[in-house]
Amino acid sequence: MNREHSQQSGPTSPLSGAVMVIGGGISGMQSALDLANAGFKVYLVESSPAIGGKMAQLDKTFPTNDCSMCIVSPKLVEVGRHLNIELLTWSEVTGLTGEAGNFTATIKSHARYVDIGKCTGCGACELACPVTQISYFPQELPEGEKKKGSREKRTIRGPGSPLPQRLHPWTFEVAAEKCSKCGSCFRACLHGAIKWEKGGVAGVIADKCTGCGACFVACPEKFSAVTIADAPEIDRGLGAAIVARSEALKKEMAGRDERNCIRCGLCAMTCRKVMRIGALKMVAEGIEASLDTCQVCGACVSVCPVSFLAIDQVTNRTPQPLYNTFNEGLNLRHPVNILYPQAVPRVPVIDEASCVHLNTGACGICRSVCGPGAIDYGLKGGEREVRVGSVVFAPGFEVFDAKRRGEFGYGHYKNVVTSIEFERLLSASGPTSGTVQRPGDGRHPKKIAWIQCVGSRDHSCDRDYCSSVCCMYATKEAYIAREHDSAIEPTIFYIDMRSFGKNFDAYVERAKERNIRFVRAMVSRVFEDPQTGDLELRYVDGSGWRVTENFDMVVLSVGVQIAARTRELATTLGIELDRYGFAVSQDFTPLAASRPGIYVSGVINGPKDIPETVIEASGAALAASAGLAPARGTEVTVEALPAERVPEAGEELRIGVFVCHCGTNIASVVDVAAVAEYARSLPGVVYAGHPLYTCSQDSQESIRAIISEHRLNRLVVAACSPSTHEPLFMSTLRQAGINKYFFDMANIRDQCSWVHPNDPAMATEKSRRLVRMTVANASQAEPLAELEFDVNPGLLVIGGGVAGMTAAVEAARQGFTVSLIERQPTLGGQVQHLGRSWGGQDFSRYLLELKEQVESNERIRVFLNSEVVEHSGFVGAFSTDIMTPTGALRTIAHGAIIVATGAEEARPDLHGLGTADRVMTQTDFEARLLGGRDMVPGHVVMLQCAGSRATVQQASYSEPDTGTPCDTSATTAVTQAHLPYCSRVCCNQAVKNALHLKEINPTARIDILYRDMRTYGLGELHYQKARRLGINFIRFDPEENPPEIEVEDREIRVAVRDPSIGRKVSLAPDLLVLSTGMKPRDTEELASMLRVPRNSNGFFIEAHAKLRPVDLPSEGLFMAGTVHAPKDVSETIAQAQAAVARAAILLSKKNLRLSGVVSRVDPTHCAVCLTCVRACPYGVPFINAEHTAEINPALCQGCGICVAECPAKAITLGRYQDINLKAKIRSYAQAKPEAITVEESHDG
Amino acid sequence: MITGTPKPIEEILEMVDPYDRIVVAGCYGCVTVCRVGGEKEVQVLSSTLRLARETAGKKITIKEVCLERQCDPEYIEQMRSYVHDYQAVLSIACGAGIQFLAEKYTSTPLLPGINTGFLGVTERQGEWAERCQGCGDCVLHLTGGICPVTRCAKSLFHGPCGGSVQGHCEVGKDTPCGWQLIIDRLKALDQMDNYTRLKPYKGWNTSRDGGPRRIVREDMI
Repeated sequence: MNREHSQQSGPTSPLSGAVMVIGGGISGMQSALDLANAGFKVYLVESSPAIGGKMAQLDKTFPTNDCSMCIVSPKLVEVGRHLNIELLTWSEVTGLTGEAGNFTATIKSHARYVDIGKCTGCGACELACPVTQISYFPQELPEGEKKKGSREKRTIRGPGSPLPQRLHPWTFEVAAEKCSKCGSCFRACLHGAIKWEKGGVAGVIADKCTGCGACFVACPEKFSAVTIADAPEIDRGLGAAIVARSEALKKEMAGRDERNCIRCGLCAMTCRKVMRIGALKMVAEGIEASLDTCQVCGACVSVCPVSFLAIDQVTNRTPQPLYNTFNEGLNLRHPVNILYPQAVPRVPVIDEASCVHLNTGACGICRSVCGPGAIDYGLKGGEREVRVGSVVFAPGFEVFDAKRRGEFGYGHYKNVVTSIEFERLLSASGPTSGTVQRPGDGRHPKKIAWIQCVGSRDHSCDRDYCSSVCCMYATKEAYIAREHDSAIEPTIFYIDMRSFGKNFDAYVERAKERNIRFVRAMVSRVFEDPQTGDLELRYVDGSGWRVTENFDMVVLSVGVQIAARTRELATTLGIELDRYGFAVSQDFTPLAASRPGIYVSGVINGPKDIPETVIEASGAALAASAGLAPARGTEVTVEALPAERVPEAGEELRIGVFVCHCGTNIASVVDVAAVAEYARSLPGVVYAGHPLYTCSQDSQESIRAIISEHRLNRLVVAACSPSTHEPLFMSTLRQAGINKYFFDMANIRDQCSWVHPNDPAMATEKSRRLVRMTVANASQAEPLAELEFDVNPGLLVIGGGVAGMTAAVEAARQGFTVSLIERQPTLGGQVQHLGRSWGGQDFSRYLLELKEQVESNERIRVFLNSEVVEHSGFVGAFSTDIMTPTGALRTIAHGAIIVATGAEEARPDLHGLGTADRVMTQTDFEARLLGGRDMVPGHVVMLQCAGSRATVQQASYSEPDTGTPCDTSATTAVTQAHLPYCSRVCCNQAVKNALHLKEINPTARIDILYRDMRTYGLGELHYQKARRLGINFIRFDPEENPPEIEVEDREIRVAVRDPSIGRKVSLAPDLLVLSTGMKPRDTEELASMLRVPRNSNGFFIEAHAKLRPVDLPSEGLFMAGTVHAPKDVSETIAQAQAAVARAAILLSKKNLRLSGVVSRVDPTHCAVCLTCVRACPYGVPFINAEHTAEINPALCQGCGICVAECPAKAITLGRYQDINLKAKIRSYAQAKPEAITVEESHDG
Repeated sequence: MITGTPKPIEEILEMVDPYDRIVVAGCYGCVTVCRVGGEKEVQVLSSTLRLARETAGKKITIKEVCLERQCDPEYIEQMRSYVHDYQAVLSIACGAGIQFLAEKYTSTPLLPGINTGFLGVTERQGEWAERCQGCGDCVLHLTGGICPVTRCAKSLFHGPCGGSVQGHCEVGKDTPCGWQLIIDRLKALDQMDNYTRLKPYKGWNTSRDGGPRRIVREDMI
């Protein structure tokens, strides 16, 4: 509490209000957003050229099959646009000095050679760059030495003779004054198109010339007498012209499969004049290549419009293809490269190792084609120092190098791929555009095998831990592969099916229903049939027989590991890692690294999936800002806006239209000037322009100037995707003092130039129509008011267990007042019944300290024996009534809620539990172990999944969380003796207790009967230790091989078939310990009061299974701990921190402003039918005292579902009203533009 | 609430085939709530008809209207000013509403756009079930709040018939035996004496057996 005093010291505080986040994956992005939104400046440092991390590479995500890119890209955009997140991509942290609260970090940025400020991300450079290989750049010759001639030559021939074409030819001329009369051009020309006589000036015979440029190439450099008189794009440079002509020829030759040289001459001109090598020459039979002078850059192959040249023909050196690392090397890339299509920043990096210009000074095509002039080969990297108060370290992971498991043939057998490569094969933006193909021959595979635990649970390659995610991602990949191609027959070879997370078991069941085969076996070897590329797998099946089975393709489920680079970085930061590279942290401060002020999140903290990573990311953001709370808001920038002009009644329409060239992205296909001209003729349009890049910074300034000059009151932009660019233009409009909803956008890039590149006329016509529709819509636009209201900085925490108490303490540290409600007479919750944590730390002491912190904190008010009885209000302004033990009601006003009602151990009526003394639960047993040596038995049998993972065929089990509120089946399922789900913690708890018993009594015999040992992550190490110590693990199957258990007064008899020895074993233990799992507490009434949904098992449903795991679907409500799903104490603490981080974003604001796009009910038409009440996924509409549906604008998310569903058409949504859509549709149908009149004729 | 289901579009198209100017009339009452005859359905049905007729080369002009209720004369009067300009009225209100319209506008053919169902409840969004047949002599206080007339396929009054198997009615597996439900509820309410109480025969004259019914409330006239 020392910090409390420093808070008072105000502006002289030495604390920094900035945080450095290292790593731009989902973890780093979440931390950065949570911090920046809570009033801290963030420096987000990412070593690759763009943020997104591994999640951007994934195709879909389990267990909801959401598209990974679709859910992550809004985050990318938000991070990229955030005023208080400074993105430092292509950068590394090289030093960190100082101490918590006041660090100085040194950040080294690599040279990008592209100016981020100027680049618009159009991608023209990447399209133009012809280089595809890492070249053997010619060595610089010592002065005076002459370039040696080539010794090895090869003539490349096609199946027939070259077929000279006169397509898109250029015109060549000889400048008489420069001509040295040498005749080189005359000799080079294969078509007799040069007239020359010895000693005379050469000349081109135009009607014989095919435009191959042989003369141009042959004319000695020092004279350069042959010039190109006429060629498109030549004003940008020869390289740009070659690329343009190559594109034109490719379009012309498309689909012809021409294998003969068409003698366009582009290869020779590129090699000599652009790359300054001159290794190619046109000869009568084809192309003559100088094999030893070739630098193997690949440019000639790229510009060749037909399938004539190949890289291995032009050289005798081994080509070094430049693989696309984002696509896991499954295809090639260029030295100038945008990491992936949705990258943020969407700015390329030029690779120093392979760029020809950076190495030899030749080429330079990318600079010549770059419209905004963003390419600057002179740019240098730099180093800068930033002052930050704390650091969030989220470096992520790399996948295990599958080559280390040589028996599977990865790297040798082409059709053996890793799981991350398979993700790219599934991805629509991947190398095969989402078609599942064998890399070896492009064939569609039928039988695909997944081999689990490659680089996980494997002592032989020092990867003893479990990677936690592979069982689920393999199931998902198999599932999705079958969705892509239902002929695929997937088989997953596994050891234990570790589907331990929320709704995971149900997902695996669904996969089984979809004909995905699961085989419990470890594959010993893979052999390739060298002729077919098919793969033979050998394994021992469940009954002990050796099996050989053939597959078309094998996917290795590679584990996660910490990169060597990350270990170096950890050393730089001065934090301790374990032998596997995972950060060392304490059980009760799971996100704090060993050096104070540095916090870790994501896989660096142990293997984990996306939602757990997101939880840790928010938690780390909270932990990182806790000590900096007094400096909140000191380093952030706030956007100042002019007052909004209120449109006068009947004000004439003054629409401004901007039609974007997007460099050549749109303009190369669509005639943008014509579209702009057309726009000017539309009713209401007073200005139409066509900027080169509408989104560039200078364009925003000029748009603002044009708005005021022409007194525009509506803005229309015809450019790219609204999802990425609409917020930018809206904010430009707002900065010009106009309501931002007077904006609309037409996407003429994705919908016109990209999809109709071969039909410019129709693409232009379609653009006209889209613009017409958008203008029609804009003329119907209405200004929408954004609701603004004050935020109450109080937090209500419901539940006084570890989650609730942690949340209360953390929120108080952030400076918020907390009301903590507990139903029981004491704080502590379920953890009161537990002994010690993984790391051997004592729970009771921890609880005591935590209670002491809660009780002594002035900002926290604890209400014991109290319950919530009434709840109203909305985000930022809630009011909750609680019933105190005296029976009095108390009203608490607060801005946010954290629900932490927890779970308890299930106590099913099984095997005499509750009646027989010697049958107990794991928790009972844990307590007994604390009793000391006298209390411990000599022989214990533990039964896992006792009453859990019950094979239930109820509908509730097979359906995923749908988010449907009013789920009445919840209580019935929970009160059943059997829990259908996996409780996640029991395997670890059983191993922990078994090890504890061994510690007390090393001679004790322990048999653990299990179905799948789900000791995920680093828990696997304890499992291994338990096996080493001689604890028996006997697998059973509840259907095929159930254990027979008889419990009598004096004796317990257990008989089970042990599959590892193939025999039945009979056990007579002193104790039978049941791992019964956990069930959520009774929260039916609470959930209904808070209007938040629970799933059929009684756990609360999160707003988004992957990316919003601590948010409840209603704004301002969060959850922490086992109320969400079963989890252990460290995970609970992390989630409690995360929940406070999310709440802090709201509570730290003085007021909130909500979107103007909200639903409104017209009470005169409302039929009170409840359709909207039932349809709303956020539970917002309700029937009010006036007998009409009401939608609180503060709670409405603007999704529009109620609008579509309302049978009385009584609900409208700003921007998306019938009037808008009708205007668009009418305008679409109009052949000619005419004044748009909208008549609404619904009398009723 | 009175429930209903939309008629197949083919059937409606056949009905409106002779006409090229019609009114499509919805109702803001029950049929709005059960999603067959509200404002939205009026618009959807009208658009569908226009599209189909335009495709067939026989354009149709449609006046879209949604009345507050088609079972009250004052609301029906609202159509009087224009109804004669049209050749027919396609009503998507319940059978009562359609008939009432036909009664008031005797020179205009009335066409039904929905099949009227029953007096029922919304079990959940999109699912309705019958609860009352309007027999005119309620006994719910004796039967645990579960109607033997409606819930028992045979409308029995003294317990289940021989077709009740494991709680299901012999009519179909999806139909619970009404009497099973009644007995379960009576047991839970500790009112089994109601079950054994001998009931006199039911007078069905208050139901449909007495012919079309009429209620006259002297106190309201």
